[in-house]
Amino acid sequence: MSSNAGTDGNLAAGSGGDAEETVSPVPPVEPPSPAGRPEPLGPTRRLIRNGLAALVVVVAVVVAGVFGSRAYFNSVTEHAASDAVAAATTRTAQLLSYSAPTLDADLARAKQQVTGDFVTRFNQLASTLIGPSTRQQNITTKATVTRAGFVSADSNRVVTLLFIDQVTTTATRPAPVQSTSQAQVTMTKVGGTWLISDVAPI
Amino acid sequence: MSSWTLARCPSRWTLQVAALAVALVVLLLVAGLLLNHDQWVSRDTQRRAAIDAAQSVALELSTIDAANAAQHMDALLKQSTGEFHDQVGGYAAIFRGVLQAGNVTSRSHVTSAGIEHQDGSTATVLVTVSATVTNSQLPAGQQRDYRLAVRLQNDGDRWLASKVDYVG
Repeated sequence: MSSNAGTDGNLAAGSGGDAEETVSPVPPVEPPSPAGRPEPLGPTRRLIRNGLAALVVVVAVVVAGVFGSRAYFNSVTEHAASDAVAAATTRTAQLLSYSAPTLDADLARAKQQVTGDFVTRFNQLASTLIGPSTRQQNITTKATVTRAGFVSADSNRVVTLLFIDQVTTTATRPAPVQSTSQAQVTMTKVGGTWLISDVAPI
Repeated sequence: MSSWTLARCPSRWTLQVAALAVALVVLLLVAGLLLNHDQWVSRDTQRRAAIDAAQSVALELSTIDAANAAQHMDALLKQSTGEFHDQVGGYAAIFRGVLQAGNVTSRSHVTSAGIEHQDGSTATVLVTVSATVTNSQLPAGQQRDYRLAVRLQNDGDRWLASKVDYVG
C-alpha cells in the first residue's frame, strides 16, 4: 500500500465514520487499486483539477468580456465617426445658410442643429450679429461643405474637420461672392442624433 | 462499489465534458474577438500613421526655404509615390529656380488634420496649414492658410503621398 492510497483510505474512513455515508461512500475497507488499473483521482487531485478547469473558464470569460467589450466599443466608434461626419456636413451647411427674407425660419432651423453650451453661444451670435447684419445688409448666404473628415472620435463625441464654401450676396454687392473657410465642428450624440456642440474656425 | 461507479461516473463525465465544451466555446469566442480587435487596432494605428504622413507632406510642401530647397525636395520625393512623386520630380528644378530668384521663405504649421477616407491600402487626409510667407515683394511676411487633401497609398509599413490637391 502506497502512502498516498493510505492517506485516501484514512480520509475516507474518517468521514465515513463521522456518519456522512452519502457524501463519502468510499468504504474504509476498500483496497488500494491493483497495479495496472488506472488509479481513480484522489479528492485533492480532483479538487485541483476541477479548480484549474474553473479557473480557465473564469479567466476566459473575463478576457472575453474585456476584449469583447473593447471590440464592441471600437466598432461603435467607427460607426460613430462616419455618422457624425455625415451629420456635420448637412447640419453645418444648414447652420451657415440664411437669407434676409426668410431669416426667422432659417435661424429657427439653425437652432435645431445645435446642442449643449453651443445653444447659448449660437443664440447670442444669432441675435447680436447674424440677425441684425443680415437684415441691414439684406444678406443671402449659402454654405456648402465640400470636404469632410474627422480628427478624433469616440462613441458619443466626434471632432470633424470641414472645408466650407460660401456664396454670399448683399444689398451693396448683388453679384455672388464666393468665400472659403475651414472649421473643426464637434458633434455630440444626443438621444441617437448627432448635433453640433461646438464650431471652432481654423 | 460498482453501483456507485455507475451512478456517479456518468454525471461527472457529463459535467466534465460540458465544462470543456463551455471552455472551448469561450476560447473560440475570445479568439474571434481578439482577431476583430486586432484588425481594429491596426486600422486605428494605420489611421494615425496616415495622418502623420499627410501632415509631414503638407509641412514639407508649405515650408519653403530657398537655401534648403534641395533638401525639402528630396524629403518630399522620399515621402511620395505615383503621380505626386512624378510632379515633385518634374517641377523640382523649375520650383527651385523660382524660389531662389524670389528669395521665398515660408514657415508653416499644421492647424488641423482629419481623415476623410480610409481603406486597407489607401487613405485621404484633409490638412489645414497656416504659413507665413516672405519674398522679395513681401519682406514683412504674409500669413496664408492652405487647405490640402492628401491622398496616400499604403506601402508596407508606411504611407506615401500619391496625390496632393490644394482645395481652393
